Amino acid sequence: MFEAWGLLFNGLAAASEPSILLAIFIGSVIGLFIGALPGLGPTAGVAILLPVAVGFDGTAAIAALGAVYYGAQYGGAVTAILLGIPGDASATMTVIDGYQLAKQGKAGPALGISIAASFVGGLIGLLLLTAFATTIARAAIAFGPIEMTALMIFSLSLVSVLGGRDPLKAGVSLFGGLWIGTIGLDPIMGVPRFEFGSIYLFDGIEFSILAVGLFGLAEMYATAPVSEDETNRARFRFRELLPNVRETLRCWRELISGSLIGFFVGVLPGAGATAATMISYAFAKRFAKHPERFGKGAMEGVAAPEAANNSASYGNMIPMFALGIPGSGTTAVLMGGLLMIGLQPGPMLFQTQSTFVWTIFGSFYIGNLALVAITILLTPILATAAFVKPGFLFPAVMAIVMFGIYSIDNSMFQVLLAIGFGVVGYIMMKLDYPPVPLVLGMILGPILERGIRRTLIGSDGDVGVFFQSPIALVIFALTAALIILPWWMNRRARHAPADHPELTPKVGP
Amino acid sequence: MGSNMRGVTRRAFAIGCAALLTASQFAITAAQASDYPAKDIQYVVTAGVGGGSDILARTLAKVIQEKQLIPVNILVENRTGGSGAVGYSYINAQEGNSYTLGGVGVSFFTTPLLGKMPINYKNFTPLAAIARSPYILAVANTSPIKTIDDLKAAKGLKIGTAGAVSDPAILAHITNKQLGTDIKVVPYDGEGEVIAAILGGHLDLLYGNPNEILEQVKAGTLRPLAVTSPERMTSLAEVPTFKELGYDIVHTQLRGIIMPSGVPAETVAYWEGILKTVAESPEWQAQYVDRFNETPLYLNSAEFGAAMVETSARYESVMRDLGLAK
Amino acid sequence: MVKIRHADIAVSALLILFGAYVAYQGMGYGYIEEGNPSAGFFPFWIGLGILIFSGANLFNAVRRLELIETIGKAEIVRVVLCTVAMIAFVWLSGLIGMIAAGFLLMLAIGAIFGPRNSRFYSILAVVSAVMTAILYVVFGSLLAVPLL
Repeated sequence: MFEAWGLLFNGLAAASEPSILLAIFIGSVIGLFIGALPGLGPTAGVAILLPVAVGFDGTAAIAALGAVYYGAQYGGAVTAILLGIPGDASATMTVIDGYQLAKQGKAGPALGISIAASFVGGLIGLLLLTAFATTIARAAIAFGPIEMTALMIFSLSLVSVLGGRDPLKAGVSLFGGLWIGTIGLDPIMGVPRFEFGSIYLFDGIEFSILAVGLFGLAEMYATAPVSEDETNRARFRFRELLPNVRETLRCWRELISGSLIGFFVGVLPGAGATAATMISYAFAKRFAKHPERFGKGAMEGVAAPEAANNSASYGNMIPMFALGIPGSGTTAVLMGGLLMIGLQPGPMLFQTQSTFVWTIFGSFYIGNLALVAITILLTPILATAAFVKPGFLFPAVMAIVMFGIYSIDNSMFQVLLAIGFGVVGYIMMKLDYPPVPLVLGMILGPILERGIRRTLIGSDGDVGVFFQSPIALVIFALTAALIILPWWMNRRARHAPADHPELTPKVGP
Repeated sequence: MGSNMRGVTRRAFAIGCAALLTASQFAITAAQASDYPAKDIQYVVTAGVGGGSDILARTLAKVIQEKQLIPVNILVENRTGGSGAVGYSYINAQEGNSYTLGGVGVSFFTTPLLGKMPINYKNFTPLAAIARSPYILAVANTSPIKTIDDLKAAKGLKIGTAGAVSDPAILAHITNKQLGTDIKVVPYDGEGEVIAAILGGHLDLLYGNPNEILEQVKAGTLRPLAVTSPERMTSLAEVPTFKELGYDIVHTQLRGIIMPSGVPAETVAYWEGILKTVAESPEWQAQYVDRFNETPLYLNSAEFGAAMVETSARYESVMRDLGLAK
Repeated sequence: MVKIRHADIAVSALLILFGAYVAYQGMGYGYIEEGNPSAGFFPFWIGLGILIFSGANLFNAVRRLELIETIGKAEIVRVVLCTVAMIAFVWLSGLIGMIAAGFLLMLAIGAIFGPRNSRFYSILAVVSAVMTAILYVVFGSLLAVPLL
């Protein structure tokens, strides 16, 4: 472990060479920008830059591509907070509290906490990547279909805290999301499901299309137009454009828990950053002192998912660097980049290409610092977007949304799909169907289905194997605790209605 | 679809492949008898950036430009979606357009067979095949299985495949049929997930591309059992082929190039010439074949066309057995 | 003007039918094959879940007579107009290209949300023109998207 820091120091030195610094800067800015465009996330960013980057010298190319990846995670939060439109899939949870904060006129502090969370998440993710990459990679592969199933059941049980006011409607929403997750080719049998004869639904529905429609377009529909001199938005105050250090520090618990959850969920093959943000948001809300503030503009509700998605992007790279296998769509494209510059990613990469790997790690540290500086400087300018009148803001945003969605697959079908989800989202909003269970179902459902079906193929349909894995048993126990504890605590609270039941002597029923 | 062409010319400047662009500026040899090609060539990749067929397309374009084989640019464009159906439908709609190229991937054969794409390989003009990629059957290095005979004797094995309808999946089913084994086929979403599951002990076997397997073999994490190519691979000379072990499991992925139907015979001949030069060039050997551990090969239009018929028939028979083909 | 309660009842009833459809389709994909859950296993239970929750929801909505909130006519008109404008954008893109259609879309959306006076329209036209140029540069050139 100590040698890791020595190697990292050399890496940092190598990465501060001007050509690499330039690559980091270009990559960060492009990533920030593409991440902020609705519908386009890190995968699109890396894919767009790849053909250009392979023209650079090898190390600079990968430093730039890496910078696009984590830069996009910073950028995704910007549109989520300011416009209520997730810039990419993993920024969806940030919309929930971030946009409420912006509507209350606290766009600056909300952007500030997202920057702080991105930085802390990035730093924790990086430190873990630097120190324990190989160890963590070995632990992560212990997660097979059985353990994945257990983790998904745990995560879906979190819906009980994310449900909203009406549990029945939360149920409809959750199952609706699960259904959307089944659209496309069945991952096990290969038969198309619910594709309605369209080749465009063959590969399923891209999550960011749903998220943009459900959150962004629906919110816009529901906003009343305003006459020229009145505004239903918060009054413009300069102080509210700046990040707020005190409020940021208050969220330290969520920053750390979000970073750790993000990292460890991100490492697992087949899980991903979006799942990590959902789990960390639910976790933060579940253990918050005042969970009722979540969804109404809680700083913690921005801190947890933003820390998680940045941390997850480094977790994601661990299987690539340590085992030579891509852990996600984005790292698969990054690996394509490694191949195209002539580096063979593989389990020996750390040994055979030590200088390269450590220079890249060094560039990640530098890139994160650069992004904090860039985004803090941009915050006051960006935050003013929250004060632009809808008459001018909405046309511009709507056009960017249309173009952004189109460029995911160069297809108008996806644009129509987003428009459709906008109407669905509006109806859900008016009838009080919570949207969060739906996105949870759509992201986690497919992972659950794969886990269960892969396990049962292997065990010839024997369900007993789920209870033979120690990791799965621990997760199942946690799930049971998550469901039973609130019920039990409620009962206790009713018996002893004091603030600190453990300090108050039991009065008796 | 016709209006897409405008986007293509705009893309000419934007694609940004600086290397390609500058090289081609000096490539105007004007040695061609006819005036073909008179404008930039569009190469449609039906999968995303960074994947196998994308890398092939970009490397091919790069080698052609470096060797200054044609006086215009080749612009690689990704049209993804619908398991290849979106891209192949697009190429098909360019009937008679000799400025559109496309790459042949697994989905070129399997998606039509699923009954969801109204066109199939017969709707395209084969140009040539320029490389071949066999599959390697491998186990974790800690596995007690060392040979195919061990494999036949073992019970309750699981094989992971990248995708439910893919080369590894189809090979897994052919293997069960040929070896008389009862290996359970567990589809995953990608090669990376399968290798992770093998290393984690959740699976026993996998079929993989040399590109993905060889590094793991070198690192001592995976052990190869047999290869699906007709002859032994030079990079794994000690590993037997299924054929020499007496099993009819011969399947390689042909890296071929196609055009829409209705292109003139001179165009086909023109590209056969270009692609033959590429396939036999040291640049291609260094930048593609060696780097991705593929097998060098050249098939002309007629040979490649015959191989397409054979490949499609193989997919069809397995997919019928599985109840997938319509 | 639409009463929330009526809309709630209508949507729940539709979702019951939809749940039944999903479950029925699920059976069609195959429920169990060789002792393992097949392609239709999850869709079947998902459909059933939608059906059951929506059924309970319908029961609730019918009973909630105290719910008298409504959605105003102006708001519904606005949602319909926005949707129509976006669909028109998709349709027009195929005819006059995305850039020109995008400009028209911005004018339309502005007219829906803005105060609709001459001063507003003149600024809107300028803003839309500038945005159109930005869209062209960003998506058409920098990101090299093959725009229609």
